[in-house]
Amino acid sequence: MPPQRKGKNNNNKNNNNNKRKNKSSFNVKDVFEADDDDRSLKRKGHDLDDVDDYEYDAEKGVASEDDEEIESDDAFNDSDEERFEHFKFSGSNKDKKSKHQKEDEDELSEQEINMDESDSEEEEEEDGEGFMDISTMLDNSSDNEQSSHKDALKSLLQQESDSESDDEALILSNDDESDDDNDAMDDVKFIESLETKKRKRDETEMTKKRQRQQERTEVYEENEFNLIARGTGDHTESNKKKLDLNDLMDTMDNEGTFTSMRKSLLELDGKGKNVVKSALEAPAAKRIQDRADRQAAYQEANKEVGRWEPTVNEIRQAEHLHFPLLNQADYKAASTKKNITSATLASKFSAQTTMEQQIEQALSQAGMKDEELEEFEALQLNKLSVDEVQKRRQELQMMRELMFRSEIKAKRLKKIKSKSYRKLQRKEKARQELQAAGIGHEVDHDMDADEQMKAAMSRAEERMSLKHKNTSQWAKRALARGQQDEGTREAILEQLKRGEELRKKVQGIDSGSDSDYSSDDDEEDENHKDDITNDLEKLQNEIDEETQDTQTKKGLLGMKFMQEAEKKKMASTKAMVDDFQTEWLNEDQEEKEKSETHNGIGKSIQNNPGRLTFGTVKSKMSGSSTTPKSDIKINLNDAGQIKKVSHSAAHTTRTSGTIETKSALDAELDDNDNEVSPWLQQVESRVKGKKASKKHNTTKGKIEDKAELNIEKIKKSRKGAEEKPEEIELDLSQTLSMKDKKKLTASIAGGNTLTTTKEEEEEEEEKPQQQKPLNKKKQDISTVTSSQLSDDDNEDYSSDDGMIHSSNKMAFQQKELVARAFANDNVTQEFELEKAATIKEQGDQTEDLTLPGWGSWGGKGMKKKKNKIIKTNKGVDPLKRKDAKLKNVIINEKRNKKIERYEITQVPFPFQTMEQYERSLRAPVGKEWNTRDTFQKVTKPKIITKLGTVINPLDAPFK
Amino acid sequence: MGQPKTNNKTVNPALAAAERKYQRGKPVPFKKVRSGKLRGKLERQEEKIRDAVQSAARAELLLGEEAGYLEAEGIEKTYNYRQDQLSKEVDINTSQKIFNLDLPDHGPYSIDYTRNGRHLLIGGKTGHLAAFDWQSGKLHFEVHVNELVRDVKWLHNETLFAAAQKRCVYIYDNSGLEIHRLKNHMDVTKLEFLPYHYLLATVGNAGFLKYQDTSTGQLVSELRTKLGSCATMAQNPWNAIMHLGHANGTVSLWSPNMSSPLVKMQCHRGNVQALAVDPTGRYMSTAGLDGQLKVWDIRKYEVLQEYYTPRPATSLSISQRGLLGVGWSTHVSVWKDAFLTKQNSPYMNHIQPSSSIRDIQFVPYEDVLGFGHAKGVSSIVVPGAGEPNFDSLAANPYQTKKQRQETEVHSLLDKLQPDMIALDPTHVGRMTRMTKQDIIRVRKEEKEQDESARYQKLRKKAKKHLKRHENVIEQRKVIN
Repeated sequence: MPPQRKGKNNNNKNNNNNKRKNKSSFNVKDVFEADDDDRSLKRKGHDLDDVDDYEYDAEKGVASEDDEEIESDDAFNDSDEERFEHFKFSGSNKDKKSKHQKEDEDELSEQEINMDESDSEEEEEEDGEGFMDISTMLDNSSDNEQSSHKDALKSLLQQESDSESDDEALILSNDDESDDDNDAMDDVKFIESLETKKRKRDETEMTKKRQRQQERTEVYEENEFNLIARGTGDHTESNKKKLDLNDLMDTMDNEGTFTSMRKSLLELDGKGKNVVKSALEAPAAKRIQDRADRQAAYQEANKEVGRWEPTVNEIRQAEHLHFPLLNQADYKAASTKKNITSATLASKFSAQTTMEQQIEQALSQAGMKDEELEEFEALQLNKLSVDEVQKRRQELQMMRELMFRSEIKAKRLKKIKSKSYRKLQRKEKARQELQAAGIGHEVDHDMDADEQMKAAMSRAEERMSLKHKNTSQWAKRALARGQQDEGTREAILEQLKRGEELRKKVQGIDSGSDSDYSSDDDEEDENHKDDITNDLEKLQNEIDEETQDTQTKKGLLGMKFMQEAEKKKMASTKAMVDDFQTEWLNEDQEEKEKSETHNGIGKSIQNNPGRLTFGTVKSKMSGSSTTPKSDIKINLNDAGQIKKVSHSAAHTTRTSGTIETKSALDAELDDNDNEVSPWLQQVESRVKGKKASKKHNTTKGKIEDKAELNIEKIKKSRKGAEEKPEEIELDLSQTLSMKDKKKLTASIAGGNTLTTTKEEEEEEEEKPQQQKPLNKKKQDISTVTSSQLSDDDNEDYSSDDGMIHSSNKMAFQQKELVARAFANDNVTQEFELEKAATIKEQGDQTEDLTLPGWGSWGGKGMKKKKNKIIKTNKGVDPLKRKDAKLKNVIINEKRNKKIERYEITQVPFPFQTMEQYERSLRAPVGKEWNTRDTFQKVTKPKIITKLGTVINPLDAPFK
Repeated sequence: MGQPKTNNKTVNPALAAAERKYQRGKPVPFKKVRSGKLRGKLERQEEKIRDAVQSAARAELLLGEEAGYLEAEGIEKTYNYRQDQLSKEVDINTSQKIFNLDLPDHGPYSIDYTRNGRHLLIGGKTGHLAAFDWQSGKLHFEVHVNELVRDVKWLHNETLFAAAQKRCVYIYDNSGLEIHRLKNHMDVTKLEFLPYHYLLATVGNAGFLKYQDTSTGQLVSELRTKLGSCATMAQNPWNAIMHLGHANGTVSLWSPNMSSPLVKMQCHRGNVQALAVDPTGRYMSTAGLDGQLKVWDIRKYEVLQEYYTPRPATSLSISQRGLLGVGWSTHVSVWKDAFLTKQNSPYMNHIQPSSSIRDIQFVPYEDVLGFGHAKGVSSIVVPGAGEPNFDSLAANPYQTKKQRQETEVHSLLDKLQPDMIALDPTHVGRMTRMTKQDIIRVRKEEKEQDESARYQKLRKKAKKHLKRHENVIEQRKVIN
């Protein structure tokens, strides 16, 4: 509390000071104010605790009598006055006034007292309150005070000392004047004057006195200035006591001369008819006034600031700012620069260069300048009368209106989604088209019919081709659904079947044979021919029969003229058939002759007598003939290797047959000695391959018949061409079925080789370990050996046998070889194991956290613990691994910590989603990826300042 | 504003195609973004990107050179054309690019071209090192180190190169002066250099993959492959991942940030003999001792094509325009469109008589293929191999000394950190794909690990101290 109080006192003092300033009339007496202060302070200190009650809780049970005791001056002291200055108390105006008056009076009196007091300040202090009540209080009050209001006093004392020091200076001037002699007298006087105030100093004393004084009716002197309403704490009560106009008026009669006066008085009271505004209302409380002022000021300021808003926004939103800022004119120029259009350019255009001038001159000469054209148009308009112009305008308006309407209608129609409507629309359109066509071709009815026929045909065609093709909605849906029940599947199959049939029907049986015919298979060709001849014969027979049957016919058909007509018809058909037959037979004959001529060497390719083919003949022969025609002699040496292969001159194709048998055997042999290391085997075979090739050369040399040398040559080339496919066939057999290989090879090679295979089998049994690596040229086994090894024999290579794609037939060989070569390396197995291990390692990890032996018994018959605490560390789900579907790949799922440094965990501010942010990074900024122009644009700084220029603050930006 | 918009619509199909090429993903849909500020930002950004695409497409007009291939008429085949036939037909400048350096004494040669394709470095097995501007024929140096040289590699430009010698890797300058001896890199068989990271990667008989930063000299990482000796290595130029081929037929992909391989693929049944990665980083080609040559899509880790070579290929190279060069025994065959479709016949063939091919490499920005073989170094013309238009910001074949110095400084300033190497290089600056809980958990774990490691260290230290002082009798202990 003390500091507060101190503040209050200070306030008090300040207020006094203020007052001093205000009341210039009292300036002279300021010197004594300190005293007044002191006293008021003392008073305050006296009734420290009750002050509040006095001031605010007046209604709280303070008796009216008590009220009277306390002077309004005292209760409502200076500070309060200051504080409540703006409060409007009902009927307080008068009080205030009077109070001020009273105050003045007080001050006057105090002045006097002070004048008298002069030097007694210190004394007063030293003696404390002793001065105030000499008789009783000195002994009593001082003790009481010290005991009960110790702290209050302390603060007061301090306060007083403060004020003293302040006031001392002021007092000094008067000090000299004062006389010591007067002291005693003055004191007495002073005490007397203070009699009323004395009471308040001591509460106990006061209550006693109060009781005593209750008998008195008035506290104050009764005079004209001291009315009853004044000086009461309780305003409501005082109001009642206050004289009112009504009180005065009650006494007046309603009649007589007083009516006018009464009226006027009523008006004054604000009740009559012509209410006269009463006196000026008191101004609003300062607080409220201030608030209103502030609000008004805020609005005003807002308006002022708001005018800056567009400019500030512009600057804020600008991508780049140039400082010093461009002024408005520059801004405009900059903005217009952006919107350069051809129109703006054209409007400002003026010919400058010589060429431009020339062109302009030429244009003006031709009268083609814009201005001239406009003038011309204007002239044209001038010629028209007003009515005409109006008419034209109306027409135009009409047109526009119609166009607009039709547009709207079209839009509306376009929106219609109804299928039936569309259908109708289509039909309507078609009909209209037909009609239009009809109008055009009314004369030509045949044409129309033709067209109809065509349309019908096309429709039928469409039906045939599209239907039964699973293109119907139902079929599509059924197929899309995937799993069909038995019924639907059958239905679909049925449909397909039907579709197939229909298609066959439409295309005719010819198409089937056609496709066969296109293939060079001669056998099929012959069959076809046979069919045709058969058909012809059948037809002839039928005709014959019919001619014989004519006699048996009866009725209309039995009539003579009908029969004759029939006969005629028959004769003509027969003639046709005969014609055809003769033609056909001739052709057949020719072909036969041709084939006979070429049978020895080869067959000429169709329409190209210059080229001969040899392969086709062979295939035909092997297919059709069952008797062995080849005379192949294979001489085997002791080692089981083929010493010599000789061919009979007439047959060209048998060599390949022998190779087949040989390689089949070879494969079998391979099968037999599977345990032998593939490496060893291959090296061996390679070496043998070389030998074999040499032998092959020797066989070449042994061909003696020089006459047949050419043919032999042809055969050689033929053989080269044949070798590849033959080998592949064999390889297929190797890879497919090892068990019944013999049968397979036998069937492939045909019956003609059977004998030789038998022979060889016998040989084989004798020397099962041997191999016959004839014709190993293609099988390049050395692929598996290291490159150093392969460097030795470069001679084997020709440039065209480069890489072979694995899907190529040739690659089967290689694949097989590789598989055999690396059979012992379980590389893939190891890899799979490794992958399994890594999956396990990077997957969920379980950890048993149960303490061993804890909570369970040991020893024999120990049960396994049920409640295990198992902690699982989540890893990567094996199914969700990136390599889950890749058999030969292990992708590391471990976290790369170092990478995380370059990743962000939150979307940076202006962006709201990850997508927005990441897509913003998609375009590179560097000059390596952009043109110079883009690079400069993209990297342009936000703020550009011009060096060496003053950047002024924004000046009034109001546009 | 209507006017420019109509102008923007590119009617020219070539331009439209070019624009499509430069389009990098779909634009961000910004129209429904509520925040006005963000919407404006996105709108402006999209506009910028669109402009960039357009201007890039238009700038293609400046790429004057066109690529072309050898074309055969009638029944002729391109693979039948021989170099001597070609040299008669082509212009003098091109015909001069067909040459053969006869160096029969110093064993098979490994070669390397600089990134601008201007300088050639050759290293003979017996120790013959030489570098020259192969187009002008100006020799930079020629030395004989009297030691086995397994591989040579240019560093960031033609001023420095590394040579894998018998024991260590050495770095020389372009006058043949030895500058560094990298004693950490022992018994190295293969060298690779990552130009944007300034990393020299080596792998050797010990099976360690080591990365050495050539700008700071630090050894960035040492990775144990655990797959034994390795002599096949190639870099993926797109993401700077190292591809190693191993004896068990696997190919492993490495980044210096992970101690285990990022990806391991079972590619062959035998030793992986050769490896090459497409400049776009999409395709890989491998050749194994099992006589197979495979083409892989390394985005999906799937095999695209499989071929059987007559002999196991010893060296592979992929040109800038996607020609695949295969060196096997004495042959070099070049395959066109090998990554797109199955090929039946090679594009070109070349035989180096009685001299097995050691190392082949396409020359950047040139239609030339160079190869080192047992009896020297040769260069052949392969039409359509190189990129016809060079980008001087990437590599400038005609750069002057000043330009070279300038680019060196720039590239050093733009150097990428080894930490950034990952399978997907676009991860930098991206949002993390981890969930919030994961992040929290991971951080917690890391903290725990750090702490435990610290304690372990302390414990170890204490243990060491105790052990050291086991037999020491301290005075204060005795007194007590």
